[in-house]
Amino acid sequence: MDSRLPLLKGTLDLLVLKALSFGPAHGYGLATWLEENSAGGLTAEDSALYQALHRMEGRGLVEAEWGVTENSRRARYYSLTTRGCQHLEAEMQTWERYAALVSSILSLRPTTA
Amino acid sequence: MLDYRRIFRLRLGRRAELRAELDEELTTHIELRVDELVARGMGREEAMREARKRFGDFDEAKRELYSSVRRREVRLRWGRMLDSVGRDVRLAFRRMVKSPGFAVVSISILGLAISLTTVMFTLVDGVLLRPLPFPEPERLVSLESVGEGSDDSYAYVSMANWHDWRAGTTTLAATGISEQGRISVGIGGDAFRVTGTSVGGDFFQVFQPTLMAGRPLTMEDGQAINQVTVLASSFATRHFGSPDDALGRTLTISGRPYEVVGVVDEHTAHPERSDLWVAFHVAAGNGAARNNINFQAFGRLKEGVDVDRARSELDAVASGIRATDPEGAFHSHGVGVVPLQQALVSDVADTLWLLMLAVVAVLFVACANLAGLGLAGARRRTGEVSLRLALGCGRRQVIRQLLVEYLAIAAIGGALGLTLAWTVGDLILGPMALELPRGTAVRLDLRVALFTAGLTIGAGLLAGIAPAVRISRSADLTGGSRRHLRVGRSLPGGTLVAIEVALALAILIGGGLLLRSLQVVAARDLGYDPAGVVVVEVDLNGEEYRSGTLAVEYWRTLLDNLEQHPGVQSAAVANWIPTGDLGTGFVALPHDPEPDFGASYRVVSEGFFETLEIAVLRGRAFDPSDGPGTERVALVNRALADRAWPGSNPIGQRIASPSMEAWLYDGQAPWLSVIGVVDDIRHDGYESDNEPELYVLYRQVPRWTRGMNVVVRGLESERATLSTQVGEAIRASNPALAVETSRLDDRVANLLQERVLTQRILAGFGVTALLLMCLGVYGLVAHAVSQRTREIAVRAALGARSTGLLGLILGGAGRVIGVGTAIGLAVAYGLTGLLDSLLIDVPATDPATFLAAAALLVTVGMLAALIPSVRAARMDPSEALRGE
Repeated sequence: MDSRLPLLKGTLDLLVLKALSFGPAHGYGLATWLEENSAGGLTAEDSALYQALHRMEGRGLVEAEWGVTENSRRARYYSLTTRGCQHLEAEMQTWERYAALVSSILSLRPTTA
Repeated sequence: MLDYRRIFRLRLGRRAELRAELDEELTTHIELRVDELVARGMGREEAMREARKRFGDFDEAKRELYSSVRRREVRLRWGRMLDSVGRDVRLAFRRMVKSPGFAVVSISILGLAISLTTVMFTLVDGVLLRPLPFPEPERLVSLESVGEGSDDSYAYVSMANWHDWRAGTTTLAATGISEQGRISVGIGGDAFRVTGTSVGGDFFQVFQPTLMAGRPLTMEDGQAINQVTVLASSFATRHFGSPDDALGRTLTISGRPYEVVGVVDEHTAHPERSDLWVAFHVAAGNGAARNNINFQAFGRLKEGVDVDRARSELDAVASGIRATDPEGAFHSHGVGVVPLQQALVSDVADTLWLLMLAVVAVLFVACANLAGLGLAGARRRTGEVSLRLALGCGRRQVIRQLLVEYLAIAAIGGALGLTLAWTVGDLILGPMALELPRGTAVRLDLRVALFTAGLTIGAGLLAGIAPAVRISRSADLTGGSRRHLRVGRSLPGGTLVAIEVALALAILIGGGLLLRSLQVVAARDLGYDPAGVVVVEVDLNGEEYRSGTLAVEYWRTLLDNLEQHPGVQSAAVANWIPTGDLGTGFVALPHDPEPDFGASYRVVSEGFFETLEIAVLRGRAFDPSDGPGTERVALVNRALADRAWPGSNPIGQRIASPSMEAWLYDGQAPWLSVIGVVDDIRHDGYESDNEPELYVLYRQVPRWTRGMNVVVRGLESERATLSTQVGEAIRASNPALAVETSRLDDRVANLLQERVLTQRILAGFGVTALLLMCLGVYGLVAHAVSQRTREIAVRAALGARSTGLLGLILGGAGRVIGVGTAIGLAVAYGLTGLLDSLLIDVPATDPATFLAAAALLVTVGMLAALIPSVRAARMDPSEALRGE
């Protein structure tokens, strides 16, 4: 059985914003960051990552600029906008409350009266 | 590969650029992944496959991403544009506040011109452009009689002919006929005069009006014994409370009971302003019946059939009728199949388009005016604009910003214009809508408002483009140095003012021609005197009047009674009076049984000629000795006498009226002895011509007297109350009658009303254009003077006389006005042909009118130029030079 988890809807955006909160990055950099930090435990196709980036660019959460990589390649670097920062914070709180609620319900055990 | 793309990046369009960037981003991603996998020891081929696999569907992703990128770009551009336009608008308003004079003048000028244009468009739109309010109106046609000549068509048809057309057509899905008139209707105990339409055939299937209750009239209703009627919604609501409540109620029409079976939404019904519809019996007929041309016929084309096919089919039917029934071949040389919209408004289309053209010219003058003001102000703007150019604004941006200023002014002007049209536009719209066919469709609504919005933008651009380009150009060239702005000897904006002069003159000439024609027409001799005459149409519906004997008795008593009234000078009755309906029929002469002219047939009482003051030219009028038992006598008018007996004495000649009298005498009209000749009368008012007329005495044709018009001439002193007196006298004679009195002079004036209104509107446009032109001339000269202050001052200081200076300045203005006048005369000469159909007795190139209009315009224009010129010539040179 595959031990990798499919990404929940909407979580990819949150993870990408989180990744960008460490500083600007290009798409490939973000992909490897996600792989490393989930120890390969999350699956998403690279194309989904780009879709998330462009979607959030359209919503003004991230902005992009052409830059040069360490190996002098041209790449599109994404960074958080102010709105992106605020959005990330709000989403993180929501996520934490949501996760806590769900896990507290899931940890209930039947009691014998 | 990347470099290759980069080289071409700038040359590719923005779309291609976006696509290339996306391509690069994704390709870089794959390449980076491959590099890393290879670094970890994977083979290049395998690494490539792995990278692709991890990416997912590369092409699909690219397509999706590209479309989202493009959408974002478009949004961004719009946002950016709105931003900068917003900035321009704010700037524009700041400028308006800074120089409110310019703004107020511009806005007023545009507001006035736009409101006039909006009002005219409302009329044109309602009458000419809006589709008719029936389902699939493009399939509706009017069927017309065609005479011997191909252009001799007549909007009325005979029932007998139409009956055969209907039987022979395969191209019409439905066809019906109708006849309209004022009728008396009894509801409960009350009687009313209403507009009623009698219909035959499938009239309601042709027009398919929206039913509010009940059912439409059908062909069968006309043949049924129980008579039924369909009411207009407002009529039903007024008399019965609601459409549903009207169903099943009974009205008395022409003395007979009619049950209400349906109520239609009158806005979707034909004809407009009809209160009710009844069905009549449709019967075939031959011979003379074919020549009884009283009905209007309409048809609905079958799906996919065009007008030409229907026409050629019906033409064949008509020629069949002519072949089999030569007796009835009059006006049966074909069938005119005319699209209904065209048939309804053809009379007024020219007039409306002409007025529309004139008002657009007024709008052009207004725009030229604004542009002129802008040009005059150009010098003041140059410095500011140069600065902006120096700061790196592109010239296009500068032009756009200047245009936005004009658009902002136009927007306010447009709003003002729309408000004016909405509030006071009714002063023109109200009376015009009453005069025009389809007038009930005239309304200022969103459709018109959208037109006005478009117009406003157009006007703003038109007014702004010249100043914007000029300012940006001069600012560009001089780089901020005002002194080098080219002023030149030619007046800036002179061309614009010349255009204004030309347009104003063309409109003035048009208005002048109409005025001349109106004067000529209104000075014509009607042949009778309508002033102080009151008319009442009375129908004797009761069965007892059928034979006519009692009807004659009724009229005699009524006339005796009326003549007893203190206010009445004389009274008479007539079947057809001037300004009303008129029946014209064939006549026969002993030497010519079928002459090529007919005559209208008036049944009158003795006092008719005295009451209307129609002169008896020869012989005598009817008198009490003429009666049912004596010889049949007749009077003819001069036109009939001239045609029937040219050069010989008509008195004692014989004439017959087969169309009108054959039915009274078992098919053989009797000879009538001519006892007198009376003067011609213009039946349809000043614009109509004199036609042959035959008069007979009502006592000798009692069966013609059930429906008559009572005409009463009042004494000078009693005219104010005459209508009331007559109304009361008639009501007293028969309380069941609905009495509707009207003044004959009003009716004559109403017939001229369309012409009067057209003339006033065009004259109004002309005066507006003239005033705008004066403003333009004034501005032009004032500006020129201000620019040439130094030159004028030097000349004055060197001893030039002030009259010489005046001549110098006025000369410039005179040249502009002269050129404009010449162009205007030429334009008017070319265009007044459009007026031809409106001009009676005045040629479209009437030199007197052309000269008078030009003289008026030049005089007023030079006066406008004189004011600033005099001021300049009088200035103190030393002060002026110090001021520089």
